[in-house]
Amino acid sequence: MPEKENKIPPKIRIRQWDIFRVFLRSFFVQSMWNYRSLISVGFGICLLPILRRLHTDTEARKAFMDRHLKYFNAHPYMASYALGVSIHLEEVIAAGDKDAPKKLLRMKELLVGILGATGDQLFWSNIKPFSLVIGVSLLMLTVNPPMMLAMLAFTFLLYNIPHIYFRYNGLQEGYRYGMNIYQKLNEQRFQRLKNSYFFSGTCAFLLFLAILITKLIKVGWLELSVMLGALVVAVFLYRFTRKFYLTAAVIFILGILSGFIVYGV
Amino acid sequence: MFRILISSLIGLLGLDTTIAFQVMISQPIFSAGILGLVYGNLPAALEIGMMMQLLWLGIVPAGATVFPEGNIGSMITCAIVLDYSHLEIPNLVFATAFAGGIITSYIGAYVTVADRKINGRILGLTLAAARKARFNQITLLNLLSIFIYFILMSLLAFIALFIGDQVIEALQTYLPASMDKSFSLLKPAVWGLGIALIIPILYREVKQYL
Repeated sequence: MPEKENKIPPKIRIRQWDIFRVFLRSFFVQSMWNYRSLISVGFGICLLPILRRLHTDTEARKAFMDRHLKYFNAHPYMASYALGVSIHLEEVIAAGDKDAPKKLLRMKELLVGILGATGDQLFWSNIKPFSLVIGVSLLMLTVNPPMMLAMLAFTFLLYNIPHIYFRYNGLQEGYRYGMNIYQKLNEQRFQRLKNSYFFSGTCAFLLFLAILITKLIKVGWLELSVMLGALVVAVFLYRFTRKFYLTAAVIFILGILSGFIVYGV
Repeated sequence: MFRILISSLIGLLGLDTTIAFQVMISQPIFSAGILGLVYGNLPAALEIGMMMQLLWLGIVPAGATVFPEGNIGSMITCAIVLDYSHLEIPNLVFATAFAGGIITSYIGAYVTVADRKINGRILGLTLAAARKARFNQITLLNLLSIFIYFILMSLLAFIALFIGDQVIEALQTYLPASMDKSFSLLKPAVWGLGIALIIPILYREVKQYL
């Protein structure tokens, strides 16, 4: 573990309670998303407990806020790493390091890309779709309301355990490692987690398909044929146009038309 | 009154999409579960929730992209279906609700863009407050921004549900109930659409292992 700068007088050191308060605020990091500074306002608001802990001087507080209201963007969960690094460097700034503000701004600029890409790949492309597919598959297994609620609770935990872990651990690691946070953000580190969601999600999807097909066969072969027909049309249409609304509209019309053809008006 | 309550609930759950928490309670299976509990019809709500969930799995609310408000749209579909679950025309109701949800998701995307532009205005006030070291004011402005999004989405939900009511009443008046059967193949078609939209997600991930 790298040596942490130890220049801060004990009376203004950050406490774990302050970090926990930042963690709670981090759930609102995207609350004032705008096209000029993206998530910077939410980011700055997350750090208010740190501002109040480190500075009593008004000018120092203004400078602190100015540093964090500048353009910033990241995946909302991974932004915790940047928050942790900012807390670390703000401590250094409060200790009187004149170069630290520049380092902080440069570091935040560098983190924009890596935190966005890592979070998008890990959560939006992997954990979110696969945990929700698992949820849908589990819900297909039962029609008993208490069991359905249990399945929903399981899916909620399946998604939110890594979510909360990354939010909290990101803060702690960012604070601990400071400028060396890059060591902790390599893709290999998240590969095992991604693999486990991918494999369980794929198995759940196949289970879902099997249950859906069985259910549709019980209703009638016509329903199964319509489902498969819509599937083939939608796959090709979406593959070549990439237009969600066009694909949805075509399937909507096809679904109704096939009903009119089979059952008449 | 119940309409206002449901619209507010949809607005509140909608905050989870990007504004606050992001614990996924705005995702169709969870929001449908909550609406199902409110309406007292969990199985019907979750059937719609599952169907709509597959549709919106690939939508990523990342960065400055204009993304469909699929979560709000799904809640509209679910609420309309649950509102009229007592009628003898379930397939017609589903067709109306599905169309309503998809249209709402499209309009919702532009409401989100408008909200983000309003946030740009609030940013000016926030920067002014920061220059004067009024940090409590910054927190209040942030809360105002959250409240504006909540109001916009609740209003959108209210209008969508109101139009849904009018359409279903008109369909009840002008279409014979026997026509409901002709709409019965829409649900299997929507399942097919949902599966088709998951395939690109699976394909993208599988490619990494090949």
